[in-house]
Order: sequence, then C-alpha cells, then structure tokens
Amino acid sequence: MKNGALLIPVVLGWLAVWWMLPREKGRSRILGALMALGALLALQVTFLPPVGNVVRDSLFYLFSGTAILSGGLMITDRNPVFAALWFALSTLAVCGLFLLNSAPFLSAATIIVYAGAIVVTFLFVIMLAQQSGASNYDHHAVQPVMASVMSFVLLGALLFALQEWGGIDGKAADEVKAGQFVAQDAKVRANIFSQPPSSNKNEIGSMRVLGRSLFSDYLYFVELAGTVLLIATIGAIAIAPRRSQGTL
Amino acid sequence: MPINAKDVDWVEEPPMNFWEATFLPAVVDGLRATGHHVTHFKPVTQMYPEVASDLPKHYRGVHRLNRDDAGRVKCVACMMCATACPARCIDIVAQEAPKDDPNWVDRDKFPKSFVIDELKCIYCGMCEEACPVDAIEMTHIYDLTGMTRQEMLFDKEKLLSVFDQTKDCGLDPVRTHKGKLGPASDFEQLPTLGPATQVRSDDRSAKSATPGVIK
Amino acid sequence: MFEQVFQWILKWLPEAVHPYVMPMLVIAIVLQVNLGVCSYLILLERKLSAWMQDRHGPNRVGPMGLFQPVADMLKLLLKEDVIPGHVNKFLFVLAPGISVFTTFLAFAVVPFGPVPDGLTPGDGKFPFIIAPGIDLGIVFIFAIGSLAVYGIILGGWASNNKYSALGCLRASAQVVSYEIPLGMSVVGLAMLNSTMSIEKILLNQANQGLIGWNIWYQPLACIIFFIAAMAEAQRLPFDLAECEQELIGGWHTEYSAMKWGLFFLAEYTHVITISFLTSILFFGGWHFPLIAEADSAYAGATAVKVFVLLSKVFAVIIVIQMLRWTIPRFRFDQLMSLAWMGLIPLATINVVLVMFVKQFELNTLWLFPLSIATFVIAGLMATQSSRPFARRGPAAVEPAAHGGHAHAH
Repeated sequence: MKNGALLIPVVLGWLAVWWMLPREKGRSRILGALMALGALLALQVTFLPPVGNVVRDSLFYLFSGTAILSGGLMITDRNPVFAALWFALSTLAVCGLFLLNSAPFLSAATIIVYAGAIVVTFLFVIMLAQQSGASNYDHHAVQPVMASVMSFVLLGALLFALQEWGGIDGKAADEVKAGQFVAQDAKVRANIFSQPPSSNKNEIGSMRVLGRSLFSDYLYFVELAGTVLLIATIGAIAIAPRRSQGTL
Repeated sequence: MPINAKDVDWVEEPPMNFWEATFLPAVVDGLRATGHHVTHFKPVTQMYPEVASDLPKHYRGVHRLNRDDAGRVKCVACMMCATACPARCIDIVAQEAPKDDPNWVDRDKFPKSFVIDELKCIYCGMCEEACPVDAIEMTHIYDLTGMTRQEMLFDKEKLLSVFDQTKDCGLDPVRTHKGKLGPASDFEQLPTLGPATQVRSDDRSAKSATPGVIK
Repeated sequence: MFEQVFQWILKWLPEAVHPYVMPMLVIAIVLQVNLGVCSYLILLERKLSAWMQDRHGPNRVGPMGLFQPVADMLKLLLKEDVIPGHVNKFLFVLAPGISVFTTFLAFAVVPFGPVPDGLTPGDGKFPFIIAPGIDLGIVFIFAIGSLAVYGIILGGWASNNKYSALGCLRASAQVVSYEIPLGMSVVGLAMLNSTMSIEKILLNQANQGLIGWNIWYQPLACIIFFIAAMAEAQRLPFDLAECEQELIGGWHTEYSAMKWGLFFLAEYTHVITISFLTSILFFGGWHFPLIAEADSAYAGATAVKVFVLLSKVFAVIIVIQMLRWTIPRFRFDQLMSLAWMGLIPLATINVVLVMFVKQFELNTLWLFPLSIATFVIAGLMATQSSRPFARRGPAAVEPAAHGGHAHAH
C-alpha cells in the first residue's frame, strides 16, 4: 500500500500522547518522549521538505519542532497555567512558520488575536478561578482514549491528503523556494473582482494583496464570518446578567 | 446590625460641565500647574550637610541634664521622668545627698547614675514635661551617630556635657514646663522667651488660676 | 564617509555574512543608545518629578547629579538578587526577560531618522531602522506589544504573592482592553495613507510639508492613540498594575536587583517607542518646515533630520513624564469605562469618518473639523451621562435621603 507508511507516525504519535495524558498515577515521561520522537522521525522521513537555504531550513525546523513539541506539552501538562503558556508558545511558533511563508500579516494578526488576547484571557480566568492551585479535574484526562484516537484519526486524514496532493513532497520544490507552499488556483485568478496577482515577489502576502483577495474572492466568507460574530456578540449580551438584576 | 438608611449620607459627585466632561482642558490645566512648578522652581528642600537645617523652636533632639548655678546637676532623682517615659529608656539610680557637705545642704537626693538610651528613646518630650525641676530638657542636636550601641547609652556626665555645649547657643534656653515654674527651679520669675514655654491663649492651662502662669 | 568605511570593513569579511553586517551594526547601536537613554530618562523623570514637587532631586553623584544613572546601575547590578523560596523559579526568571525582549523587538520597525530609498543589504547606507521595508510596521508593533503583557502576567503569577497576582490580573485586563482603541486609532491613518508601513506614512507626511502632518487629519486618533499607548505601557495615570499605594508595586513586588531593573528598562523602552510612534505617525517624523523638508539636500541634512525627530520624541517624552504628576491614577472601573465607553466608540467613529471622506472623495482636510465635532459631541454626551448616579440609576435610594446633602461637597 502506497500510504501505509503513514500509519507508523500516526500510531506512534497517538501512543505517545495517550501515554502522556494526565492520569492519577504518573507514567514514565521518558517512554512517552521516546515514542513521540519516533513518531516525528517517521513523519520526517515521509514529509521531508526540500533542502534549500540553510537559514530557512533551520528556521523551519526550529519553528515546526517548537510548535509540535509545545502542542503536545499543552495537552499533557497538568498545570493549566503551563498548558496555556505552551499554547501561546505553539501559536508563536506557527506564526513563525507563517512568516517563513511570506504571510506577515497573518502572522501578526494571529499573534495579536491568539497570543495577545485569547491566551491572556485564558490565563486571566485560570488565575482568577484557581488561586488555590490545580483542582481535581486537572489531574486526569476525562476520556484519554477516545479523545486521542479521534484527534489522531483527523491528523492521519490530514497527512494522507497532504501526501496524495504532494505539495511538500518535493514535486513543488520551485514553489517552495519562491516563498509559497500553495500554488495559486486558476479559478481564483479568474474572479472578475480580483486583480491579477502581482509579478513582484515582495507583494505576495502583503496587506494590499491580502485585503484585495479577502474582499473580492472571499467576500461571502468574510461577510458570513462577520455575521456569525455579530450574532455571537448579541447572544453574549443577551445571556450576560444585567446590573438591574443585582448580579453584577 | 445593618445601617439604617436614614443614617447614610449620600454624597453625590458634582455634575460635570462640558469642558470637564471632555477631560482635555482639565489635563491641560493640570499640565500648566505642574509646568509652573518646573519653570518657577523654588525648592523647599534644604541642602542639609552644606546648609544647616532651619529647625523649629520646639524641636526635640538629644536630651541634656541641666546644671544649677553652683554647677551641680539639677536633677533631684525623683524618677518622674523615668515613670513618664513611654519607651522606658531612662535609668536612674538615686543617692542620698551627703548632708555634711556644704555643697549639698539644700538637697535630699541626687542621681548617682542617670542613663538615657538614645536608641530606645522616641523623643516624645514626656520626660521634659514631667520633670518638676527642669533638670532634663531636649536640645536641638539631631545628628546623633555612634559606632556601637554602648556609646549611645548617654550617662550623667555625657548629658551634663550636652548642657555645657548647648546652654549658650541660643537655640536651647533653659525652659520650664507648661509655663509653670517648678518648685526647685532656680528662676525667680519665668523667662519670657522660648516657644516651648509659650502657652496658646486658647489652651486650657493658660486659664489656670495657679500663680506663675505666663499669659 | 560612512559608506567607504563600511565597504572597507566588508572586504575583510566572508561574502556569506555581508547581508547581516549592517543589521547587526544597527541593532548594536540601537541597543547601546537605548540603554544609555533609558538610564538618563530615569534621571530626567526623577529630576522632573522633583522639580514639580519643589524638591531638588538627585544631585549628589557628579555635577548636578548627572552620574546618578551610573550609580543606579551599579547598585542594581551589585544588589543581592533575591529569588524567594515560594516562587516558580523558571517563570520568575523568564518574566523580566520577556518584558525586555518584546519591548526591544517592537523597536525593530521604528525609523529613528530619514530612511534612505532603495536600500539593499550591504550597500553601506545607514538605514536608520533595524528592519527596513516591513510592509505592516504598525501591525507588527501591536503584535509584539500584545506579547509584552506576558512579562507582567508571568512575573505576577510566578511570584506567588497576592499583590503580584492582583497586579497582573489588572494588567492583563487593561492591556487586552486598550489594545483595541490603540489598533483602531491607526486604522484611519492606514486608510488615509494606503499603507501600514511606518516609513511610508512618514514619507507621505514629509512630501506634503507641514500641512501633510497627520495631526491635521486625525487629531482625535492622535489623542486616542496617545492615551491607549500610555495605558499599554502601564504609565501613570494608568499604572494600576503596579500601583504602589495599594499593591506595593504590583507584579514586581517580589523582584529585586537587576531583574527589577529589567522591568524598568522595558517600561522606559516602551515609553521611547510610543514617543517615536506618536511623533512619526502624527507629527511628521523628521519633517520640519524649512529646515528638514523631504527634498532638503544640503550638507548635514540627515543629521538635522535626525535631530528634529529626536527633539519631537523628547518633547513627547517630557509630556508623558509631566502627565505622571498631573493626573491622579484612574480607578479600575473608570479605566475600563474609558476604554470601552470612551475610546473604542470614538475610534470607531473616527474610522467611519475616514471611510466617509475617502468614499465621497472629499478634501481630506474635512477630517479636522469632523474630528473636532465628534469630540465635542462626545463631550456633550459625557456631560449628560455624568449626572449624579443616584438620579440616573435604579430607584435604590429614596430621593429624600440625599436631598439635603446635595451640596455637602
């Protein structure tokens, strides 16, 4: 089977995460770490990015390694404050990957929204709610098997799709070197509202191009997302207790 | 018990006018006030070691033990200062005055030792108030330093030497307490100077019928 | 002159490192100057505070106390660095590092002089900015600035101290709230200039002369930006997170020696950054009529431009330090209502005004009266809403109980 090799990292990764999930009795962290390392190595064999610039490659490995590592630690750490911090670190590493792929605005916006606002709010709530230390339900995962299986089935599907499409598999090496993983779709170019993509390489991922694309090619999605957010805001205001009811 | 609603004073914040509601004029006004202090700089700080600080007349510094005209210690070892002292820093050992000595013929007791722990002292001035013979007084000396705790225990000789140092400098006249002459005071009448002896006209003691009160 | 020396230095270095020489040089210069400037800003702040309070201020170390920063720095370095036993050591040590790192990183896209056109790495022109050509300068600064709160939160949480915890809770709520008006206030600028790059916004202003300064188009945004930036930097009157009177010092209660000094370094670097931003975004940067125009090419024009920019920055810093002793600290509910009920609606209206003017292609100078009118209307509304709350709120208090005390104050 062509894609059979994918099973090794997925299963190994699942084992590692399942092994490390918080439990009443602590388990050997070294064993979990070894399995995780094995999974990463197996994955690395399948999805090795083309070797190009040394600086760029080392940055890529640094950021992606940090992202995966801190993502795993976020799930397996028992201390909720540290889990939130690992989440922040993971977000920052992903933002670094965005930057590597010439998407500075996406990177900055992700930092502002996730690391700057959402994780700060998490920390705020954790500090407010758990002043006397971690509580009981932080010490064990509720459904370790189901949760980890589901997430790794999803991950396997993603990896399968990636391998089938072959974007990173060395076929599209030229595109990678030009600073993008994803080749532009012909359909997108055909949209009457969108300007022809700039020939200037520096323009890729710039605010101008991004804004034009968002408000022409993806106008419906932007409006839809805006509407959903508006409804959520109205709902939040409706649910929130009023001052006149004496709760605030 | 909950507070009765009638007993609650509701103080309303004053309504803001337009300029106050926009905040900015108030900020500019405040900046002008702080800026004025910078541009019209008149420091109230005194440059202490170079410039001797301008102490108030009633400043309470290091104690002294006064001498009478004969040069004897004025203290009669009555222990009133030690009793009054809230910090319990005064330690007096009394001795009967030698009756056969002509120098001591008018005295019953005198302090054999008189030690004030200047580190324990809180400089409240109660001893000065308590003393019936104006023997213990506080001076303007404030820059008191020492290398050991032992040398901050001021004994009788040291306290007397403080008197010798300070009696003529003008800042520390021999005082009385609360405007009354003590029974063993060597003043015939009250000296008219010294803010420490002044009693404000609205003070209760100023209206007392006792003779010897300064009006 | 500089270029020749630079090229001569490059000759001795391998080809591969040539693009990195100039950035490293600029970073080194910026770091060193910043450290020196920060320590002297602390002296200036102490002196100004003293003058405003009719004191002399530090005046013993060196002439006029000019060597006081050296003494301060020595003291901070030589003091015992206490790490209390009950703290989370890793985060406790990490927190001041994050504070300093983020504030220094934000300075990377701030130009501190006239940025020359057509920069290429290794051509020897001094760039006057660490990272030239960043398309989204302002967004980058906000992104990094939003990370700065981690230093405070982690420091406060790791200290395991109730004052620190209260301080960092306040800080996180405050920073998250004030990021919104801070970001919204420059959206109008970005739309007017069709760019988010700080260099290009500066150049746009300089090319149009004095009338091109953004303060004429965005006076309201300038005020909002300045207020929100001060709140982000935790400067008085927004320093509820450290708040000496209530919280002993807030999140840095447990810190001592150089770790405490790093927090201070971060705060002053932040002040420098927001002063640069205010003077660049709204007051024309290095542009000044007649002496530093965009096309002035006399000998030493670059130096004059740098001088003009630094003078503007210095003026803003002075204002920030004067405000410290001018306005008392906000109460926390006032702080929140200022952000959510004052600054954010005003910033939104400001953005809508810019859209309006751009859409109907009016003269952009219309924005000046429109901004002022918005501000006046907001003031009138505030006058209405500042009526005594007993009359405004629910009928919890019977009017008779306080009728007689209306003039008690």
